[in-house]
Order: sequence, then structure tokens, then C-alpha cells
Amino acid sequence: MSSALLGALGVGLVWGWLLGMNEGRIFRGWRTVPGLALTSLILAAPIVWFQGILGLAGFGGAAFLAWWLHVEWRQTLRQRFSVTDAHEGERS
Amino acid sequence: MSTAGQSASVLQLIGAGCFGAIIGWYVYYINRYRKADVQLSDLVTVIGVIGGSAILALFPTGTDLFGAYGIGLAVGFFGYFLVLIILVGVSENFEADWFLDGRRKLPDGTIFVPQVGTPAAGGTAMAADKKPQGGMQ
Repeated sequence: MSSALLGALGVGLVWGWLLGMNEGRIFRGWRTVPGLALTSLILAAPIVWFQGILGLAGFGGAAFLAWWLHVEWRQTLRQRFSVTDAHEGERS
Repeated sequence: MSTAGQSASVLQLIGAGCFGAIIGWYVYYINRYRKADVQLSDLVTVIGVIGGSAILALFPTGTDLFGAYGIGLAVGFFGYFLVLIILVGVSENFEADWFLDGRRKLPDGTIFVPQVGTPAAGGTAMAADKKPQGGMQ
């Protein structure tokens, strides 16, 4: 595994974790979700350009893993401590 | 500056890694103290910080320097998170739910839930919700 690919993995992990912080906090999905997807593409574009599909796979896989772990962790905390979301009805 | 065709020295790799670690640490710090709901502009700023043109000019994607930067970025970012976990675990005034909304035990034993927009000193783990959720419980 090249060190450049490791770098893509590192960036993907950080980006995925940052995306995971939106769990339960997306109030205008029609605007936020495409925005998140667009910003992810902007971040992924140079990685694809220079490292090809392998770099994209590493970045995307790491980002998905970090996002999933963060979301699961937050949901587990929410259930364990019975922290409710006051904006449940506002989600879209 | 190094290009894909050049190999970086050990000192350059260490420097790129340490630079990434500082950026990663600071990205977590910025998000922890962010007062409002996440905005698209926040994410664009983050992209500029962790993978923008300035970064790619310093550490071109596909080089060993970018690899060292990316690894350092993750180490700094998750290092901050690890330190928070340890400090919350050690403290008697915080539980893991602090990571969700910043609630903590005050010296008189009451549980304080910071109102969003005016977080108490110390912030939350990543961010606060958009609207006030209450105060003392």
C-alpha cells in the first residue's frame, strides 16, 4: 500500500467523522444532503485525479467507515442516556 | 515542493505529518466550539483546510508527502477525540452524554444542559444543536 493511499485513507476518516456529526441534526434535507454530497465530491475530486479509482475507493471506504461508526456511536449514546431530539418533527 | 516523481526526505515526511496533525487537531477544536448548526459554508471551509488547493500545492496528491499529511491529519483529529474520551472518563462531573449536548454536573450536583447558541465554557464534543433545549434539570 502506497503512503499516498494511506493519506487518502486518513483524509477520508476525518471527513467521514465530520459528516457523522450531522446525525439527527439535518433539518432541511433537500438542501443539506445534496450539499454534503457536493462537498464530498469536491474533496474527492483531486484524490481521484491523482490516485485514480484506488484512491477514491480508499477515501470513500474510509469516509463511510468513519461516518457509520460515528452515527452508530451517537445513536447508542442517545439511547443509553435517553437524550431526546426536540426537533424530531422538523426533520426532512 | 515535491512532485510525484520525487521522493521526499524523512525530515520532509515528518514535517508534513506534524503539519497534518496540527490541522487535524485544530479541525476538531473548531467544530467542538462551533456555536450554531452546521452550515454548508462550514464544510467548504473544512474542505479548504484539510484538502484545499493550498494543501495540495504544498503536498501534491499522490506523493509521499500527501500520505504523511493525511496520516498526520487523522492522528491529530482522532487524537483530540481520544484525549476527550480519557478526560470525560476520568472526570466525575461528565458522562458520555456530554458528547451529545454538552451536559455536565455542576458543583451543587445539578445537571446543566447548555442552551444552544450560548455554550458554556468547554463546549461540546463536536457541536451543539440548533435550538435551545433547556437549562437546569
